Amino acid sequence: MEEQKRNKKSIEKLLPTMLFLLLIFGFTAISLFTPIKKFSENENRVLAQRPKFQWNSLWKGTYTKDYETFITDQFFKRDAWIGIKTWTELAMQKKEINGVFFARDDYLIETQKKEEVDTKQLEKNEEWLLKFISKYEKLFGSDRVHAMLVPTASEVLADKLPKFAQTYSQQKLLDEMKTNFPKGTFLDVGETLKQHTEEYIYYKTDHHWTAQGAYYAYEQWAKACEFLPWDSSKFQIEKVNDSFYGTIYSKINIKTTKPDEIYLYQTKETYQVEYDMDRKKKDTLYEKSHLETKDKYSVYLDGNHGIVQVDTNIQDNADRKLLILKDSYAHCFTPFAVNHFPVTYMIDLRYFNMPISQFIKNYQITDILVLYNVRSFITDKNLYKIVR
Amino acid sequence: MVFSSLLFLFRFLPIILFIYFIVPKRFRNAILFLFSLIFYAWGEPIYVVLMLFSTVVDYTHGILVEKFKNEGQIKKAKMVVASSMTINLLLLGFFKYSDFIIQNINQLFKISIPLLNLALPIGISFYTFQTMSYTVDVYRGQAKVQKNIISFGAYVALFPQLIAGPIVQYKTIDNQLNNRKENFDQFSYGVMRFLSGLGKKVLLANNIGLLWDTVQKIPSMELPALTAWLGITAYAFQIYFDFSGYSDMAIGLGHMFGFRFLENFQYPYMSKSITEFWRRWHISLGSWFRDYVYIPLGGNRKGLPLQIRNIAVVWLLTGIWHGASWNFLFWGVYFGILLIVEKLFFLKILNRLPKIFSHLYALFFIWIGWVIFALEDFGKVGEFLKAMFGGGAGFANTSTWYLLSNYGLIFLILIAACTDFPKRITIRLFGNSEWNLAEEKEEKTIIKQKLRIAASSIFIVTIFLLSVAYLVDASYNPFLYFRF
Repeated sequence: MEEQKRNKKSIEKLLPTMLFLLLIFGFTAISLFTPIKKFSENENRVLAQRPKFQWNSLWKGTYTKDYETFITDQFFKRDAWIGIKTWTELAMQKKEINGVFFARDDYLIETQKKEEVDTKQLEKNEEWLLKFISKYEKLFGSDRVHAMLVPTASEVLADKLPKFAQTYSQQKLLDEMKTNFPKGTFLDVGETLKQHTEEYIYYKTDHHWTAQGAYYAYEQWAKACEFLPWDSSKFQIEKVNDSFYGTIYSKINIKTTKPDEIYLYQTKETYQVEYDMDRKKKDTLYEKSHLETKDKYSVYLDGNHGIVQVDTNIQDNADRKLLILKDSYAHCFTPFAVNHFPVTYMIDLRYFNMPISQFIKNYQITDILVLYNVRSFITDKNLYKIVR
Repeated sequence: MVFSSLLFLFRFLPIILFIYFIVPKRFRNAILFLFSLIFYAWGEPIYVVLMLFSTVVDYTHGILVEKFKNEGQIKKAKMVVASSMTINLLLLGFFKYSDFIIQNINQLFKISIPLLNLALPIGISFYTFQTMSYTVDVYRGQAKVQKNIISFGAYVALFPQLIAGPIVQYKTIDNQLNNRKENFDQFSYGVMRFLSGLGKKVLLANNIGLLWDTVQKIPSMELPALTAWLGITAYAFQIYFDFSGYSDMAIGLGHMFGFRFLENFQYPYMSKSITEFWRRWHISLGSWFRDYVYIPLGGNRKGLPLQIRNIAVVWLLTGIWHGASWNFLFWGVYFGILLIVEKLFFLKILNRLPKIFSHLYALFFIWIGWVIFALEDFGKVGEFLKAMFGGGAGFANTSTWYLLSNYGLIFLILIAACTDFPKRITIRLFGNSEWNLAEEKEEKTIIKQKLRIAASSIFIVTIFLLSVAYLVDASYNPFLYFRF
């Protein structure tokens, strides 16, 4: 009797327990036999590899830590698991998940909390930028030297954020900075962009602005340079892709929204583009091969490079050369700016080590634009190079 | 290593389960011992030596105590117990408290003895307490001496309870060490317990911990009262679900390997007084202090004044056990005072008041306790308490409503989950089920049993998959007991 009861109970527990064992051993087997990946296209980063065993690193505790990162990074179907987490959080009524707001009109917008802003780094960056702009404003004039810090979607599209959501006020920062800079050198594009919030000026799944957003900023910059901005009708606007899931999507990995579209602004001018001084001239501003990859935004001027030189057949301002010091927000802006200069240089301080003052002298630069988005300006660790 | 990691779930656990159950019974303790050492050494490759030292010390002391007792040399046996206590406490004192003491001496005498800056060996407060309990239990005749050093090592290093408890007193698993019978029922129960613990830690505690993290970063001058309360409530839930989650996982793993550890938490937030709270919270620590400090000091048998002294001693120690810092000491004193007040007269009053009042009273003082516990710095504690009562930035602001809109549903889930409501509802729906090892009554219907199988299977798979998803993302998964 006792024995019988026991058996009955055991049968009852058989299925759940077997499921548990199946899950533990099954996933272990799968994770052992999944091929090791070098790079995650989705997250756009190098994944941790199996650490080499060394007694030394074992004692220091680095081996064990690296091994755990390795397992986590290489876990099979990593992106799908993160998607499951996002669904769970959505079910729990979370408004922000992994630093991403689920905003109105299908926008995914990165959060930026006041407490998270590194004010020390920001103050330094402000100081360097001000020093740099002031120096060249005196040399070249306020119509030839500009700083443009582009607010990101969390600022410009603030109306689309979830109810009560609060973010760091980028506009306040811009307002403060504006008063410190030599008159006319600090271009505040926040107001301009805010007039177009119902247009497609930011990607819904990526942290960049769109070419259309960049166009409005370009108009403002051109006016500040005392140029006549090209009318948008002068461009052939070509939709080249409609399946772009950007960097913000990669943080949450669920397709609650439609993919983004990518537009190229084509002209009849001729361009010669040289990347990293490799002496290979390309005749287009757009590298369409990237549209086949995950990182489709790189279609604009081939993504990140230390230095990019663009020669044009433009006759205006024949003796002038523009230098753009920038982050990736400039990649879709520069195609507009190059139309006013025979030569334009674009430099990414992360990958460029020649002192900027020397570069300006050696290459006879006459016009300067510093273009960053506010988020990356705040956190940038390379701006000290600007004053060298 | 911690349980809530992919490493544990998909490397350590499958390997030890496999090896443990294929080897003959007589090797099982050795396997447990070996794997426990690996488990510990994974994060603390050097300090594992310390644990082995503590093991050897108490192993030999235990044998000596037994020997002297058999020879009738009680005095010598006592000396051996004292020696074991001294060595363990010196070990604990040196690694845990020396910098704290040096700092205070420096401050007091305005000198600057350099700090030792030793990293605290994880779990040292747990295993030294366990090894001490062994020698004392042997002396008291409550436990047999353990002649097999492998079995004794397995007890000290036993990985389920190694790094975050419960503190298993030797006498409670004395017999199980060499004569346990692993069986399928117990294993199944262990699986269930382990998964509820994993879910508590990964899905509940980590989730609400983020809210406390956010609130903690707000400067107190900008902190509205309601946000402060939400924050400390979040902390109260985080530490409960984290800690009791670890205990559940420990107890569950113990069952898988045939051990029955005593319960460590018993719905503490359902308490109606502070006295009751401490009977339901971290029970193994409370019992340890009761059995090895309070009762030896005379407990309540020597009159009220001495009893109050004994309570005071126990709570000073309980406080400082939680970390080498004044705030933990103060936290202990705080509860000591509340317990004495309750003992003297307040409990009698409480019992006559409506239940709801007693609940609110207990929660209020527990919550204030968490402020002292969590913030570590008296200045911050003061400011936070002030903010809780409106002295920060009024009652509420936009961000309060935002936090509520984000965490409202989670709060409701947590409130339900920290009571015995889920347990009662499962029993009502599915009959007396997996949750309870007690013998079942005759089945009413076969349907109920089928329902139960389905429900527990869904429970296991869901909790498991969700936990893995959260672990793969690995954004926030803290270990809260590094100061213990």
